[in-house]
Amino acid sequence: MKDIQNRIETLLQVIENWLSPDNKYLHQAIDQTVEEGYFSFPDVKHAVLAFKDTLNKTALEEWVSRSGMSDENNASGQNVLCLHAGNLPLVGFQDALAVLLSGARYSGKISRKDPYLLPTFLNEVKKTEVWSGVDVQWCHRLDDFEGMQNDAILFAGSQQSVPGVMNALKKNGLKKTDTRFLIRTAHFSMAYLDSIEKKHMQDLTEAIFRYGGKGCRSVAVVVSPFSLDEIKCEFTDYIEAFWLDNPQHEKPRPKLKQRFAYNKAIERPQAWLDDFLLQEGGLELDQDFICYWVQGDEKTVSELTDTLGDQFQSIYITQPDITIPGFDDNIEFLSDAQQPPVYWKPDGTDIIQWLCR
Amino acid sequence: MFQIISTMQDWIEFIFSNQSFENKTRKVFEYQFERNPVYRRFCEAMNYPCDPPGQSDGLSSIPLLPVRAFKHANVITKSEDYSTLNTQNSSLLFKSSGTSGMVPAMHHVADKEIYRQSVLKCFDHFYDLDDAVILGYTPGYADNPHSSLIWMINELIKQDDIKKSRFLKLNKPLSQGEVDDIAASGKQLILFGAAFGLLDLAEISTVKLPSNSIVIETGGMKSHRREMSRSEMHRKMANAFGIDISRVHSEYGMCELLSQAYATGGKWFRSVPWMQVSIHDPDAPQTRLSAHQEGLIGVIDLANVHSCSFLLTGDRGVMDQKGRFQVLGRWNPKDLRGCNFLIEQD
Repeated sequence: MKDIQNRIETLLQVIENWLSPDNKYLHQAIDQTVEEGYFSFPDVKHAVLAFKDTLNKTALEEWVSRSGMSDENNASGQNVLCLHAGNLPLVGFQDALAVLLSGARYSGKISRKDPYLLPTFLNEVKKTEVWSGVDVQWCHRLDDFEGMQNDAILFAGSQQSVPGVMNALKKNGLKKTDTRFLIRTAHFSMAYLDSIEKKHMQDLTEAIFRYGGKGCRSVAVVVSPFSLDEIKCEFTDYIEAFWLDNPQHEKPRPKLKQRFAYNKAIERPQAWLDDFLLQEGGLELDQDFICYWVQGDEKTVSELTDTLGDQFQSIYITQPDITIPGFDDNIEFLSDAQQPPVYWKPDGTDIIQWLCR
Repeated sequence: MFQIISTMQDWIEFIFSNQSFENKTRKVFEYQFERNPVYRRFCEAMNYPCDPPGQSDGLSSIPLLPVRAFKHANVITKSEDYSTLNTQNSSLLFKSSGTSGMVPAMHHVADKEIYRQSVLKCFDHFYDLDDAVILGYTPGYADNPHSSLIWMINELIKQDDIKKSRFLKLNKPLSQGEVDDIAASGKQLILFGAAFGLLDLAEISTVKLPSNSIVIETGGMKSHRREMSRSEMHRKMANAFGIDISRVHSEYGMCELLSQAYATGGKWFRSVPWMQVSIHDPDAPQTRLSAHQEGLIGVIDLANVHSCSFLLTGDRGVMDQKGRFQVLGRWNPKDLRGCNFLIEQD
């Protein structure tokens, strides 16, 4: 485990330097990100603080241990390309970290929707002796990597977007006949809210409204024994308090107002929050800024997972004694929705384990 | 012009009259805003109208109710004689077809006479029904009393005074004798059915149709078969039935609409004088798009006077400057939340 330990120690030092209050590059990147309107300051701050809280020696060692990686079984020598998403600040960080920990060479296409933040981390990595400029490369345009063939490629995409991405990879000569792909398709999460205690309501608020609800870990479906009408007044107070500190950065298009009007027309229970909509039932999941409320119990959650298939990312619960039928261990706490441990598994796949396979 | 419209018969005369589309539309809007609670709630939530109903601005600002409302609510505008007529066997209930588990759309047609007239007038707008023999290739009406398509074809069949029009038996090839008989009658053969069914019929039949025949398909390309483009499908049908591709036509209709549009050779559909089609920005459905921009198809169908005339479909379409439109398939929402859009356009 000498090499792995070396990578862990080095990355911990990199992370410490990167997140240091003295890191003027990160400061500049945050300022630029906010000034140019990519994300709000509270959302960027939240993302950075979440890393500060969750990235430590214990967590990285735990991840390595869970993945089964060893000095004999790792991804050394592989070229891995990450096509990073940009829907949330630093959403590609976990993939980049996984590739580096695995021992593979990292190439990253940085999203033009989040162009500044991740490169500040990658530049810190390149300052170390473990990773040279050849081992860590990034760009904003896919064709800048033209002809660099990869052993593995990671990206997120809907069923419809996959052929387009594959064509772009082929056109730029980035894949070989035996290139492996890790494609994520989940785009929202679900919460089971059994209690309306203050902490749980605050956790739910954060889980739904952080980043304008745009992350795949964001809750878009709430299952609860309480109806929306029963709790919407109280819930609105928590939402207003959240928005006071974290104003929603992106405003919805007029079609959200149309959905509100439609719900009114068919007398569907809802809570109109101007920039967001909570509605009971009607799980169409066809636009942003809507959270669906379903009255039901743990069994309802289980049934919904069958219906929603590979679209949903995680199931959150408020306390450990809740069981969701069919989901013994892969459920998470609601409080972790927007602050997951570094070893959380997007679409149920441990990235390091997949890279080392 | 001041006109009192209180009965369903009055509405039939009004809708199909020569008055301007704008006048008729304003009247229908006022009627539906007043008497259709589903549509009224929708308009009020859209803050429409700001001023007295329909007086503030053009027709383009009248809100279009998403057509799926027919799945989730009882979309009815009740006239003064609604209760009387509703108990006199003069109403119809149409249900959408769909895969199992889907909630069907339900269209309560308060006055079947208005649908009958709309069907016949629409058809006569594009074809000469008096000079046609209609062969319908769909399941029979008796087996599908809630299908608006089958009801429509049945009405067209009933108009044939020489009684050669009929529903064909499913899975039976066309008979050369029957086709020759129709040709001998001097009438034009019009074969009418759902796209997938007509393709099936084309495969099992060896009969060539008279060259002046017309095949009208009503869509439904995804069912039973692999998905194919409309032009590919038309080419296959033309080859199989031995007619020119320009004689394979399309009909655009749905159970939620009582009027139809037809594409009489080519991709472009035209509607009838009491129906107006527009294309809308999916992100801002109140905004009409200009010619050649793709968006959601919106329809004002005045024949829907007793349900809702102002509808936004879930279909993707485009218009040209002449007001003709193409149907490009179902709208596929692109803005699913999450990290779905990795390869941005450089």
